[in-house]
Amino acid sequence: MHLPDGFLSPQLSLPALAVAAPLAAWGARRHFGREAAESLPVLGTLTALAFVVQTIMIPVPGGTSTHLVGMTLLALLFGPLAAFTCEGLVLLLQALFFGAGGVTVLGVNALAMGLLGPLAGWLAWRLLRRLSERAALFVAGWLSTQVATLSVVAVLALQHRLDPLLFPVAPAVTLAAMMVPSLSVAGLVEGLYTVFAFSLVRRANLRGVEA
Amino acid sequence: MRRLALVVAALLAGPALAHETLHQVVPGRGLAVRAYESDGDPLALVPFEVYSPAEPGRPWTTGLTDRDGWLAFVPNGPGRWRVRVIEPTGHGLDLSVDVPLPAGIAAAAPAAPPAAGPIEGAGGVAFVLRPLLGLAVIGLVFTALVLAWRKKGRAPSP
Repeated sequence: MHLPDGFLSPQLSLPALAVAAPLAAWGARRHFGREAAESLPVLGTLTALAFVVQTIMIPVPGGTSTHLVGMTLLALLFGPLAAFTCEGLVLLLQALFFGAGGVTVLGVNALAMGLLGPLAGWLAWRLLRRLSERAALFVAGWLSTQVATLSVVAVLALQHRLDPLLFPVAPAVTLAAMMVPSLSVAGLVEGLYTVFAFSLVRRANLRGVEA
Repeated sequence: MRRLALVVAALLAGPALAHETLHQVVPGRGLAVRAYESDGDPLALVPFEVYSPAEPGRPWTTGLTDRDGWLAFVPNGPGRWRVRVIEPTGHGLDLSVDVPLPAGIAAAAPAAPPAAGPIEGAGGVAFVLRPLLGLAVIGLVFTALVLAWRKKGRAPSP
């Protein structure tokens, strides 16, 4: 799901950066600031955990692989803006040090994996948690993955329409190649991860965690 | 009759020669690039495009990586060649390969690239060290924030 440099034109990457940068600044002020000092150790630990789970490749039948994002958990515990800010940091490190995802497309990657996905998961959890908390957590993780993946598919499809030379793969092929692993494996694993990690964090009764 | 046979033979030999396909084997003339994931898994049978520095708007060649993630091309001149490996999932590579001089192509390529198997540094130690480095940076950022806010004291209660 990490788009590399060179696949998107400035027509798409620049507006995404223009939206992501002020959002990240707002998120940093709100969640990394003095008022949030108490929650910083837990936020830092979960960000580090998300960084680790994103490096673990899960093989998918057909020769490809996928990975967890781990940001739905942060969205449920601290809000979608915290998840976005932390994912921005994770993606920046991955792009700068490891070449996983591009620097110019940081805005697109952060908005998809850090904001739209976790926001959808957070909304689903808020809506369903009274019915069954475990089911709500699972759906939040699963839906978050689908929305993040669909966002990336939409951006790639738009890029194909704008300039097929930059991304020559037809939207239908991209949709199938990304959504099949997302629906069959990545979403399920993210859902299970969210259920277990959320339960563990709540049981630990950590300082600075309100959920 | 013999003359006629000679004329027919000569006429048939012309097209036959024109359709003959020849080949040339030049070791070390091409450039090879291997695309692989951070855990060392190759990007196998994935479409790639190569752009020459002389014509950056049109692919010089296209194809599929092999089962070990390798692609190869033969640059026809020096300069910065662009190699793109594009997975339908949006993963891939977009890199520049400097080709100094036609004679120096072999020198620009890795000395002895492995034909198959894991890439050195991709799995093993690098696979462990890279996440550790990331963890260290994240730990450093949050520790610095916690220490900074502790030093300045808590925010006044509203």
